[in-house]
Amino acid sequence: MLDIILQSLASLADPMVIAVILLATFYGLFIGAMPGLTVTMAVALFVPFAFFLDPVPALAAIVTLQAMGIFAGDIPGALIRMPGTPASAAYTDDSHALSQQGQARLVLGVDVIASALGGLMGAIVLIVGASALAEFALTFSSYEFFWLALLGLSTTAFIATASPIKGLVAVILGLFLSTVGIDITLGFQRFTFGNPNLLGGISFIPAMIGLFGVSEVLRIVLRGQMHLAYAELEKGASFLPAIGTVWRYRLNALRGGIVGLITGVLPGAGADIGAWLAYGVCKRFSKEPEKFGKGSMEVIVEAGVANNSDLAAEWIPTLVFGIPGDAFTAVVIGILMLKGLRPGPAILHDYTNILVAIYITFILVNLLMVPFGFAAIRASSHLLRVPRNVLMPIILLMCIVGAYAINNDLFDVGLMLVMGLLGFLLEANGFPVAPIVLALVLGPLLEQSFMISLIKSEGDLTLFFSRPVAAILGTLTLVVWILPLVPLAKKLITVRQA
Amino acid sequence: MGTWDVLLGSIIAIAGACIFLEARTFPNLAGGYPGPGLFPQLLGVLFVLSGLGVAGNAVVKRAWAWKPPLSDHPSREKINALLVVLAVIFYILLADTLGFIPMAIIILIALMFRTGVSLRWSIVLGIGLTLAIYILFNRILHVPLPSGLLKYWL
Repeated sequence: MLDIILQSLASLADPMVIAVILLATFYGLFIGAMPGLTVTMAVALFVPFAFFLDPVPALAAIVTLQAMGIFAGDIPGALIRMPGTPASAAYTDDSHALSQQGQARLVLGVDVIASALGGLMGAIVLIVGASALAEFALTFSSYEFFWLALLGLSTTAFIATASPIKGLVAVILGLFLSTVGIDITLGFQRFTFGNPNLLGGISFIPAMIGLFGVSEVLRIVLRGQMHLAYAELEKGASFLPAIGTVWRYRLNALRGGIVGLITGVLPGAGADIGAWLAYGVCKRFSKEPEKFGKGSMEVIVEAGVANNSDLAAEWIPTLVFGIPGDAFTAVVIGILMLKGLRPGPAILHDYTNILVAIYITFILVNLLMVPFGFAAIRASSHLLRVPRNVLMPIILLMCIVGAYAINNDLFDVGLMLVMGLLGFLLEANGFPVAPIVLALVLGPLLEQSFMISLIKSEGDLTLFFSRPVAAILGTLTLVVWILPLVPLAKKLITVRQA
Repeated sequence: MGTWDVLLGSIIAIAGACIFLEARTFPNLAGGYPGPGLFPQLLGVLFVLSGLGVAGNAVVKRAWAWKPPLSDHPSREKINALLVVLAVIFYILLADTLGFIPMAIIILIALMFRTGVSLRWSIVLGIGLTLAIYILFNRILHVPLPSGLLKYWL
């Protein structure tokens, strides 16, 4: 094992890898700090570059981008009350309220320490959990994989969205898009309308660039707010006071970390769910619940640790089962496939060096987050001053070139535009976009495991529950389906009683 | 959003019915086992049910207030968004003929100027950023971006 760790360290010590990690640090901090630009969009635009990089620098860059971007999402949340990423939304009101009370620098310092702490907790669980789970997952059959994929999709449709019915539509749309092209059982062409460009299916990268890049450009251009007003940072040091604050709320940090880890391991629930859940738990047990939304430091610590501990934990189902936790890790699966690394229980044995390099990167990046995070706080007023009317056309051009770069085909640019318009239209009407990407990635696994299970069981659906783990996963999935119906049932009972 | 939900829900339900009917024509596996059509058929049924659910939800909530699309946004911003879409269409249609560099310069200058950057800065940034992106993708990452009019010089 020591050999592998040394080899992985050597691969990370390569000047090219260090340069890529540093660039990804700046890129992640910049995109995360820009309100409206999400980390998912950042990774979508990064994919064309990942295409040309070796697996270690490509994956190291993604780990860096994710951690830095999620932290930097706290910056505009505190300074202009606009979360940079959805994962920061839960405690934006508290951060902004404290900033207005002249504590912006302290809040952001606490965000850095909480993010780094959460990231390190997640990294440890990833290192220990992935190999333990991979051994266990080797015994999985098509039934377990079917339920896991369905559980991930059900969570993202019913729990991770404001409207479960619209979340369901988004999941079904993604699954449908995944059926386009030549089918795996008979080589039959499905929904290609005779277009040879669709024989290989809907190309994942242009689709994702459209859904997250083009649709965001359209939204920001339509909003028309090209220059942002922001709160100024107070003078003075923030490192030691931030450490002191996190130490004062150490139990909150620990609880937030645990909540983030649980949501991270659960397929289909992303960092934003982790942060919201931690917010709820914190409020439930707080001695000062009246401060929530008006400037509660304890919730900033708890939810700030939760969203970053979630990130590394999300990689466990992503790597071990090929089931992503959110749209970001769905892109990670796309990149793993692009690099010829098939996610699944065998990945830990087949590509140990690469995985150990990912583990080390997680630790390294969360340590690097402290100096770079404090530097980003110093530069935050400059970051927020970048005019969006210069940025949006550049992002659009990067979208066009990125979609084109994978197959060198203008058809992909058209596909990107169609998906961008679709994403824009759906989101404008309250339909979430992330489940589409998750379903597009999980569609082939879900269909394949469903068909194999159906043929094995000769159509007997009770056999889908015949194995213990499959029965647990199946029951969990059914619970996730029933949960959205509970408020409806309560309402019906109240109406009847009235 | 209500009227739109009814409209979108209905479109989703109709699309689901079409998917279901199309998937019914797909062949079965040997031995009568369901083949490539089963999964899309199930998705078609779920589309119909969820589309009806979206429309039905809006009907139950009696959310009938009709608002024309994008009516909350000023017309200048709507034209800018339309220009973004037209820029991509323009690129798809003309990139092979004109080439990446002229197309990118035109798109960047037009969009920056239109969204409030001064003409001088739009031109400087449009040309400078196009060259930077060209060097990054074409020279460093070796993506064969369309050369078009400049094929003898690049």
